[in-house]
Order: sequence, then structure tokens, then C-alpha cells
Amino acid sequence: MTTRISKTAATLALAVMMFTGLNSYAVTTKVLFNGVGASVLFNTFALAAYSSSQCGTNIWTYKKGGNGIDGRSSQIPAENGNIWIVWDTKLTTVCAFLSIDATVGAQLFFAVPKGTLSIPSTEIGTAGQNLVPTLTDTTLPQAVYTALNTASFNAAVLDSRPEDALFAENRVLAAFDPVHYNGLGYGPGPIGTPIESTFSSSEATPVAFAISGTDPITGEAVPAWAATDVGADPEIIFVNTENTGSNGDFSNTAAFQNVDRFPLTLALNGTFGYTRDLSNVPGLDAQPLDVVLREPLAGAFGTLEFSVPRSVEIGSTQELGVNPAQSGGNPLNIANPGGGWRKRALSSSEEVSEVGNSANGNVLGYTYWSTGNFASVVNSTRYLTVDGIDPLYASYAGGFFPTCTPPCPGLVSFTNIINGSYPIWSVYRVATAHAVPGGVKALIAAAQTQAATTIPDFVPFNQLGVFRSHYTLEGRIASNGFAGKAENGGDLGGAVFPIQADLDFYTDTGKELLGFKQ
Amino acid sequence: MEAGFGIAGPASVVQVFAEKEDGMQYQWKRKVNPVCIILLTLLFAHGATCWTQNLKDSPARQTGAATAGNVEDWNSLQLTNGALTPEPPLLGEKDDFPQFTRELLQVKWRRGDPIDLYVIRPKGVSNPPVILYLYTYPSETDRFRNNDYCARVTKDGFAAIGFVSALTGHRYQNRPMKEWFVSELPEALGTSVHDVQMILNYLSTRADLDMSKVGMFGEGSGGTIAILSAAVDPRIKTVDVLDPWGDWPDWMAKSALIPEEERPNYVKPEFLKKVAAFDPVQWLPRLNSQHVRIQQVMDDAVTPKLAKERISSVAPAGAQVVQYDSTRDFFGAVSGGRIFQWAKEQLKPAPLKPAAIQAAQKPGVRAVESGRD
Repeated sequence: MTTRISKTAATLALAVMMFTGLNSYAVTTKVLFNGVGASVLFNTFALAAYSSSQCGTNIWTYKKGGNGIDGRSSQIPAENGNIWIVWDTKLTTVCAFLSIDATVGAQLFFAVPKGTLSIPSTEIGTAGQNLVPTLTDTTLPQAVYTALNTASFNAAVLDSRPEDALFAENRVLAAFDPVHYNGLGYGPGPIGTPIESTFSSSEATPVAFAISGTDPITGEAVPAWAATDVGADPEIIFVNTENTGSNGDFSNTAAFQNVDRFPLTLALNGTFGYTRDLSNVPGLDAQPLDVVLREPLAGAFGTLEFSVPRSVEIGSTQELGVNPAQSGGNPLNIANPGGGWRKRALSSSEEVSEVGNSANGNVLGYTYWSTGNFASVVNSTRYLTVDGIDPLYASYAGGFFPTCTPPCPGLVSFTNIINGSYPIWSVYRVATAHAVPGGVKALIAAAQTQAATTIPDFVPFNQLGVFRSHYTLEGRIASNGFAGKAENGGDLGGAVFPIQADLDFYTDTGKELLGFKQ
Repeated sequence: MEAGFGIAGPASVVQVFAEKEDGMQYQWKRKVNPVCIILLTLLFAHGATCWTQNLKDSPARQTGAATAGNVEDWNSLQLTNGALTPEPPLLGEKDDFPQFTRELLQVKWRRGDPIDLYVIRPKGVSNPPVILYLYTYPSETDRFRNNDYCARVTKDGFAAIGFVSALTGHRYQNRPMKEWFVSELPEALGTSVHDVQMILNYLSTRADLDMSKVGMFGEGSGGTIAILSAAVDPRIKTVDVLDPWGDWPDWMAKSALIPEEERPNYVKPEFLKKVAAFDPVQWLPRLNSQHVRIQQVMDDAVTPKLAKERISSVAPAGAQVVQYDSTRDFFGAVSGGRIFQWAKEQLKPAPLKPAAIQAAQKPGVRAVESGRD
């Protein structure tokens, strides 16, 4: 009797276990990549994810379709951004990317507890918006929504080292320093004043975070992390060429092909008022110069800031005279001596859109190179060389943006990024847990392959022969990462050296080429 | 049956075979089970106790493992005759290049601690002066396989001897992870100083080097070892150190090399007492008969500024102390192999300006008057 009961119980238990197991298997959707951060890699990572060997072959994208939630305080506003989601047909794997400021991405990733993705439930079943070139969207399934909504971010997509992102955050939050601009006055922290767009209702709120020790809001320990190098990308200085009728317009392409770093700084910081101040051609008309800056939480801002205006050699800032507490400071709208202005865009797409808007006059702006970034303004804008160096090709051929219908390998050569001579570029990084999750690692590799073979949006890291000298920042002792030590410290605006030079110096002296800044 | 014994071990033999009630195995179980298992268990217990006790009592464990029958006393930097017995060196590889030849030898005078020793000789010089190169923890021997590096260090007719210190690179093995160079500093330094002497002994047996002209370049912990070695071995005539570790109380309190969670262990009086005898601050003033140069890069975070100042303040009379404000200044002064020139000049004087004077002519670099006279 006892034996029979035992057998029956065992059979039942086995059945229950099998049923539960199968059922669990059926509804478990694994989140391989839940990234947040820089918009410039939005397309590349989507294309990399869209593969049966990565995340799947179903995609849904949506403008302003997702939010990053920093749950450390109810006073921290949700950060809204464009989103892509890619999943497999069996609903076993899913990846997502929320595009917002790189620094805000770092904040959401390094927050303890980590920030989470929030998707409005109204988007379930809605059609996607085909935001990624060449990919066709489907509708957002309930199961994918369920897997991702409230999921913690497992990667921050950055256009700098996390140390640089933290430095940017702290500088934004620090008290306004009208002399040295070591503080930009959007504090006090830990939750600062939103930086507003001049052109829209968009805003970005600086919020304190830490990359070591304890979280400044919750006091919880910051876990160990890693930053994987993805690749290098130039930042492009571009101008609107649609205004005609004056030889001082940017449409005078014989006069406006190049801008040197010092004139560029004086344009960005509001000192120059006329377009002709940027040209070495004499006798041009006085046309007001308009400039669209990014917010100081944006990686695009930081890379340009520390490569040119705030370089050791120049020692200025794009934020010269910008006091957020004063009229015209936030949202930025400050006139320059020529009757032009400085205004602020809050995303890459807004920056590109406003520079591409002829109603803004002779306007100059900047953003990272990607085929997608400039696709909408190839007919209304052109790019300039900086110090005579072309960011995309070996030599200048008019500053026309190339277009790409993937695959388009070799569309641009990045000659002067690979050799390090173009002054404004940075290495993209993905910050993750110290043990890089397999899904994230695979996606980074796939993105690098995409960049090399399909859409040349950046130079894969292993193709670089140069690096930027690292420096100790935010308490992290610098290391360039080539001499057997883990990469550490900041490198925005670091002087460019051949990697071999670092190896040779280390071989002789046991020391690295650290602390050099351009 | 053998597989069953081998895998399961004596303690589980009974269980394994009790589950298999058939022929041979049952017979075997019946024979072995009662007496043998008890005896075997007692034997193992006794063996384990003796082995543990042996480990606890072993002088080698307390002061250092040496060759059989010998005891290595780390606390005595000077090696007494016969304390370490070298095995015949093994030649692993010999490379012949237009400018130099490179031998990789394995030398051994300590149980479980073979040392990869690189002997790099310039071409066309029958008995070149010798300079030992020892870089800081952590480092590897890769640089000694770098042909460009070898060409630089042998330039002007000098032999270069390369190796790594104890508990470093290939010499860090069979250790619990919590034991590392700093946690075992007396062993790491004491053993390495002995190694320098043993290496010089070996080099003296070769007929192809001028052992009357021996210098040592040391960086970081390698600089510390160079100072300690020169203090006890008069064969070293020239000492060229870069950012040597030292002034342990300040170094332990602030060095960026030490993980914060471990730092409290190293600032305890008992630890500082253990390492005090290995402080170059104690030994540096004794280097009166050698040419000494101390280079310090002030933004190097491994050796805190206070420790650097303390070390430079006890430099012997005649020593050259050169401080660089930053790595950038240092690079400007020494890149391209120029860092090796000073030691060569001391061993083979040439009518050149002293490096410190040359360096001090650059901004951010200053020659510091040595602390003693």
C-alpha cells in the first residue's frame, strides 16, 4: 500500500514538475541586452541585434517610446527617448535600446539600484515607426513588453569612459563658476535643474551617481563594472548651406570649407558674431553666425568641449557666459556680437534637424558621424574640415555627406581617425557588470562587424592604431589599457599617440603615456 | 575495481561495493571491509596530522623555502655561503640577431621557483659590462623578448640581464590569491635580493662578461630591490632606480597599488615592524661607494609623494636625484631609450654631461640636491 502511494505521488510530482517546467519555458523571454545611452549607436546596435544569431528578426521602434526610470527618488523625472526592441519569433530572446544622453545613460546604469526601462502599455500592439534604416517594423507583442517593462538596464552605451561621464555630471551639478567654468550651475545635486531645449519641450535632468564607493542617493555599494571599447567616431562640424544671396552665407562653399580650432572655439562660445570670422577668404559680407550647442550632459558636448574649446591649448568652454540662473541661460538663447545666437538642442536628431533648418539662418552645429544621423540633411548641410583635416575621408571633397543603403562598406575611409590627426573623436564604450553578460558581448562584436562590413558608422576599436592618453579622473588611477593593466581613468581630450609609442615607453620604463592632454 | 578505488577513495569503498552485490566485488568487500578500512583510515589520519604539523613547524615556511637541507632566511639580505645551492642552468633558447644575442636560461636555487633569466649580449664585444634590469611588480618578462628593447639596452656595448622578482609574473604560482607581493613583502623583497646575488654568482661563472662593471636598473619594487641588493653586494657598482617603493609607513598608508579593503592590514604596527628591515630608507644612505641615481615621477600614484620625498631625503652623498613633475616631463626627458644612458655612462664613462644636469635644463624637471653629505 505504502509503495503504491509512493509511486503515485512520485508520478504526480513528476508530472507537475514537467508541466511547470514546460510552462515556464514557454513564457520565459530572456533579456540579452537592455541598453541605455548614446543615440549615435542606435542604428548600428539595432542592425547588429537584428539577426537570428543575436536577438532575433523582429523589430519594433518608436520615437519617444520608452522611459528610463531612476527609482532612487520619486523626484527624479523619467528620461524619455527613442527605443528599438528586437526579439526572436519564439519569444525566447529580446534586446532593447533606449536612446538618451550618454551621461544620463551612465546615471541610469550606475544608479544603485539600477535604473529600469518603462514602456507605456498603450504601445502594446501598436505598429513600429521604422526608425532604423533598412529594417521593417512589426507590432509590439504583449510578451515582449512583459519581458522588458521594468527590466533593469544591463548596459550603458557611452561615447566616453564612465569616468568622463561622471566628471560631466559633476561639472553640470557644481555651483556656477563664472571664471573657470569648473561648475556649470545646474545644481545643487543630487537632483539638479533640468537643462532645457531651446527648440522643444525636451529637457535633461542632471542626477548624481557614483562609479565606485557608495551611491550618493541610496548609500548602497556600487558594484564592480567593466567598460568595453567598441570603436572610435569623429564628431562632425557642419553648417546649413541653404541660405543664398550673400557671399557671407555658408553656401559660399569656396569660402567655408574649413574651421580651425581657435576660431571654432570663439564661434561656439559666442565671441564671434559673423560667419566670415571663420573664413580665411577676405571681403565677405557680415552675416550673423548662429550656433546650436548640445547640453553639457551629452557625450557629443563633452567630446567637443575637451577636444577643442576646453583643451589645454585653448582653455575656454562652449558655456562661456551661460549662467542657467539668468535670462537666456536655460533654455539657452544668447545673442552674439553679430546679431546671431547660441541656442541648445537636446538630442542628436534635434541638433541635426535645427542645423538643417534654413529658417535658422547661417547655422553651425556638431554631432557624431553616422549615416543615419545626417541622412535627413544631406541636401541642406555640409561639413567642414577642422585644422584642414577631413573627418571622413583622406582629403576634402566639398563636405557632402555620403548616403548609405546598406551594405555600404568603404563608404567613408576614416583615414584621419585611424591615424589620429583629426582632432575631435572619441571611443565608444559599453559599461556593464564586471563580468560582461554574454548577450552584450556578442552584440558589441556584432556591432563592430556591422561597422566594418555593412554600415561604416565608426572605426572598430581593433582597427585603431592610436589612442588618447588617459588621465586620473574621479578617483580612478589612469591606465591606457595596453600594458597588461585594465583601462582606467578619463580620456576625453587626451593627446593622441600611436599605441606602439605607449608599448615602447612601457617596455623601457614600466610607465605608460598618461596625463597628456591636447 | 581499481577505477572504483581510485575515484571513490578508501572511505567510500564500502558504500560503492555494498551496492553491487555480485561475485568478485562482494568477495573483495568482505576481505577488505572490517580491518583494512580502519587501518587505512588511521594511516591517512596520521599522515595528514604529520604533514600539517610539518608545515607548521617548518623553518622554511617561516623564513623561506630553499633547496633540500638548506634554510633561506629572508631577514638576512646578505646571502651566506651555501644558503642556496644552484642547479645547473638550463638553456631554453638562444637567438642570434645582428646587434645582439639573447639567451633564455632557467636558473633554479629554490624549490618550486625556477627563474627565467635573459642574458642579452651585444655583438662584437667580448666582455661587455653588465646591467641588470628589474621592473616593478606586477610585470612579466615580455620586454626581454622584444627585439627593439634588447637593441636599446645593449646599445654601446653593454650586456643586459633580465628577470622578474619573486611573486611576480611566472614566479607567482601555487599560492592562495590572498597572498601577493605586498602581503608577503618580506619574502618578496628578501628572496629577490638573494636572487640578485645568485644571478651575479652565476654570471661570474661565465667567461663572456665583465663582472668588474656591474650596474642595476630597477623600477618601482625593482628599484627597491636594486637598492637593497647594492647595499649587501659590492659587485654592484651603479644603481639607477626609478620611483623605488619605500618609506613603508607612508607607502602602505597611501599607495594606489593597495586595495582599500586590504590597506588596514598593512598599516598595522606588526606588519610595519615585519617590513621595516626592508625599507630602502634604511639602506639607501649606505650606498656610498656606488654611483646612484634616483628618478622620481611626482604624479606616479603607486609611491605617494610623501614617501618619494622621504626616500630622496636620505639619498647618499653624490647621488643624483631627479624629480619630474609629471609623466609628461619624464617622457620628454627619457623616451627613446635615453633612460638607459646614465647607467651606461657610469660604467663606461664618456665625456657627456650627467643626465641629471641635462634633464634639469628642461621645464618640469629638477635635479635635487641629495639629502646627505
